[in-house]
Amino acid sequence: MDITKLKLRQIRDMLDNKETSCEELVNAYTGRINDLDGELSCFITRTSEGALEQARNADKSIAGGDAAELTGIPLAISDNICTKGIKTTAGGKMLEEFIPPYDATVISRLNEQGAVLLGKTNLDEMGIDITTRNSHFGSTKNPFNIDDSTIGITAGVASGLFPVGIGADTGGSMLIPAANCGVTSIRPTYGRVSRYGLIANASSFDQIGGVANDAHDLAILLGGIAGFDEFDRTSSTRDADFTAKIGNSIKGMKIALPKEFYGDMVDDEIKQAVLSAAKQYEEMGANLIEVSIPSIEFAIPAYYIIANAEFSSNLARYDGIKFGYRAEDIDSYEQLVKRSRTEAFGDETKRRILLGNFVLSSDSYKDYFEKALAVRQKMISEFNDVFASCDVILTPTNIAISQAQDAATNYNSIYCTAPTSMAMLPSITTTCGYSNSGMPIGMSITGRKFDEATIIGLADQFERGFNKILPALIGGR
Amino acid sequence: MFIPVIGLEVHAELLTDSKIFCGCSAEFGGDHNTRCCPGCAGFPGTLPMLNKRAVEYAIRAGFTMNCDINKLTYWDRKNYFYPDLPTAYQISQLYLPLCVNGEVEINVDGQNSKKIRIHQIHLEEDAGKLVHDDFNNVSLADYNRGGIPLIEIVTEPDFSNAEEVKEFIEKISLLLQYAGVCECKMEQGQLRADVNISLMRESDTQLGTRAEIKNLNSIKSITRAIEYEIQRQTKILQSGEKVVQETRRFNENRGTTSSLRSKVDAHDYRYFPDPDIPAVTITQTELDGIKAQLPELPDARLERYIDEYKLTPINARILIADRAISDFFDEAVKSYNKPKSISDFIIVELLRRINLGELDANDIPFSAAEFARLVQAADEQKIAKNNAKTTLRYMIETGDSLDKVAEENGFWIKEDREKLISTIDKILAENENVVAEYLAGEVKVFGYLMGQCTKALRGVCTPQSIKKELEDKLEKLK
Repeated sequence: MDITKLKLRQIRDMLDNKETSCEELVNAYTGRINDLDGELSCFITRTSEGALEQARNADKSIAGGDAAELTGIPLAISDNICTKGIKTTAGGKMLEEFIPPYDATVISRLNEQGAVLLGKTNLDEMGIDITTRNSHFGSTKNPFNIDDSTIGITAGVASGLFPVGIGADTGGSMLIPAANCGVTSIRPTYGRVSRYGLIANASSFDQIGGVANDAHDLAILLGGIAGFDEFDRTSSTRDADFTAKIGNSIKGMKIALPKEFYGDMVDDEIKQAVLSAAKQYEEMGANLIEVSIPSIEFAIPAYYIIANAEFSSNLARYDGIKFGYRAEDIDSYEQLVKRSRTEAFGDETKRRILLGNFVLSSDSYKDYFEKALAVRQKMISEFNDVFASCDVILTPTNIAISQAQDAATNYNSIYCTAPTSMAMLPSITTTCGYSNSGMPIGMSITGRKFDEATIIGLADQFERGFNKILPALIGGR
Repeated sequence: MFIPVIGLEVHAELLTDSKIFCGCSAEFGGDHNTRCCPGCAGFPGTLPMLNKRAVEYAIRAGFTMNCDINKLTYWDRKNYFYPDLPTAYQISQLYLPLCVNGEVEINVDGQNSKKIRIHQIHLEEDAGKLVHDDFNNVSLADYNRGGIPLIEIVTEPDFSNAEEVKEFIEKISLLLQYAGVCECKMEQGQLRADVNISLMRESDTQLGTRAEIKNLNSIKSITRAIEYEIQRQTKILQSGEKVVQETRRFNENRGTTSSLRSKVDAHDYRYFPDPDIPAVTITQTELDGIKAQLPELPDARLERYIDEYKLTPINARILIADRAISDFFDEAVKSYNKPKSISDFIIVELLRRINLGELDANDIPFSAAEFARLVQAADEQKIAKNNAKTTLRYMIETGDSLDKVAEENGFWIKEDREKLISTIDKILAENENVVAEYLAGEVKVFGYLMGQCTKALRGVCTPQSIKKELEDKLEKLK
């Protein structure tokens, strides 16, 4: 069975029509993981045995005519989402041996439906980057260019190690790797999916979403995990049908192109690819409207001020006392905390903790944190202004084809994805072209709050007419 | 020559069933770490779920202290490392606390009243506890207390001496008990205070440098700490030196305070709004609903007892000092409208039993109406005074009803006239000599005759009717 290009919807049909069993599928994916993951390093923890058991249970449910949308669907979870009894490291040494005594709400929902967990995938420590260069477990290779690194959940879908995956995005930590790996990913509206059990990076930005081969699969996946959760009081009670606009005509749809995303910050090849996709939308009947969101100029500093502040506070609990890494041979409480944190956190994590503490300190709170909050409010109102006359916003996902290696440039890499996260808006990224070097280029469609259906419908329309290129790694084997 | 300027921060644990941000029991005690969950132990990925009841209780407390309630409120993180604080930040309120601008009236020197301004009351979580094992030289963390809802009542620096502070603590304890939000058992840590003290000269226009004494958990400690600190600072200022701004701790055994940390080492708590807890908006209707749940407060009751019921201020104060007793009193008066009799019987008899530990004011085994019936029976001499006291004791001891106790012990006085007359006749006949003495003018022997009759007629007639009949009979013999 060639599972390489299988979509969630095809698997659903195959399982429901008894063309294959879930057990067979899991064996096939496990085999492929065995073949390729040594090179790719997508996984931190594999759960092959548990997966087989889940698969057999799913087969029983399906045979009993008791299948939900995600029953028997094999998938992977980013390792910052807590799984009861299964190691959850968040990509760091601090939680290298952490086994949560509880499931994240998304995991409970997947388990209720009988989805099958193949393993937990690699990410930067606490989800702070887009490259896994800051993972304690080494970096994951991009199947399009194994000299370039990416995160496990996107590389895995791109390489056909699993058809869909669930991860989290904060300022672009899932959307950008998805663009780089030529897959589709959604970061829903903040509050759409419960964050309970997601190991916090920056709480007012963190949002669980998905990675898949196309937008339609994402809509189904999202339907299985979204919705209010009493354990996350920031989660929304709004209902949604994420597939509602799939196949709808986009005639008359107003697509905003904010000029700030088409300036010098963004690589020319990327701009051209996204603008050519915009042209195609225009040909399908949409109206392109050039707009401006001036506060984007301050987005990066404002984002890092708020995100690092929250990050520093969220990570304070890792003190070596209750869980996680604990330094040895210590003789005082202060030393225990200091040494545990010094020895277990990576450099970038420490840098962000320091920056976060700095902006929250009483001497700089007003000059930094309050101003950043003001920028965030301004940006929210500017986005609202755009949505008063437009339906969606179209932007590049990434500013560069290949990931920059130094931290300073790296901070700019979320230039296109951080602003929409600051405004808590839903964004979907899908591949809109390839660079001369053969690397995928992604475009992001951002919608009104809680209007995931529109951006999913729009991404799906584009994907229908787009010829995807498979990564060399897959074509070659 | 120096005027002390004192302000308080009082922490009160709220009486909610569950903790402020998770479903764990908020009850006091329990084996170590049996009343905690991943949430209140700060495990990765867990999130706070605000307890609505805690918000209501804090608002109730605010109403009793005449505060304005902020209809939009949110929570902030107060960041600091300490092993009893699982997340290394306490969820508290700094920027927009629930209750602001209140005032509480206290009595000073028994007569005058003084208004203490409340700066704010905010709602926050308690921390866990450290258990030190000096034998094995380890400290262990117990998170049972972590996440119990607390209100912190912050006053303006309106106190001038320890006596006023004591009055205030007693007053707010009473208010919180009436509001039903805190039992204020200081020995269980339900009420704890931090005291800020500075001294100034009468001619000074600015406050002096203050010291903060942390974590005082009895009125006695508070009083002693304040008195010591006033002495200490006076000495420093008199010798021309300066008071250092610092946090101090009170040493219970020595009765002294000592430095904990100076301003230089003071924590920078890096407060910022907690992104995990959505801001709460409270409507006027909700506020009205919470207000409607409040009982009549102690000051209003005191006034009513004195003005309407004509109780002495001392007795009125005793009654209102415990809401359960005051409620019981009011209920009893509803069935027997003799407030003074009820009040006396409560203060002399019922409270004595409570103080002896024979029963709990919150768990009296009979109704106020039944108690009122007993008082009435005693008033109307249907039960002899002494027997009424005994009846109460038996009712407490056995849980039996008034009727059962009085019946079984023959306490009911039946007013059997026939037996009264025949018994008195019989006694007079048996004591001819004594009667003769009486008739000869030796009136003090009346007591002896009366005693004989009362003894023989216990439970048959009231002493009054015995006395009247005996007097009549003797008169006729003259």
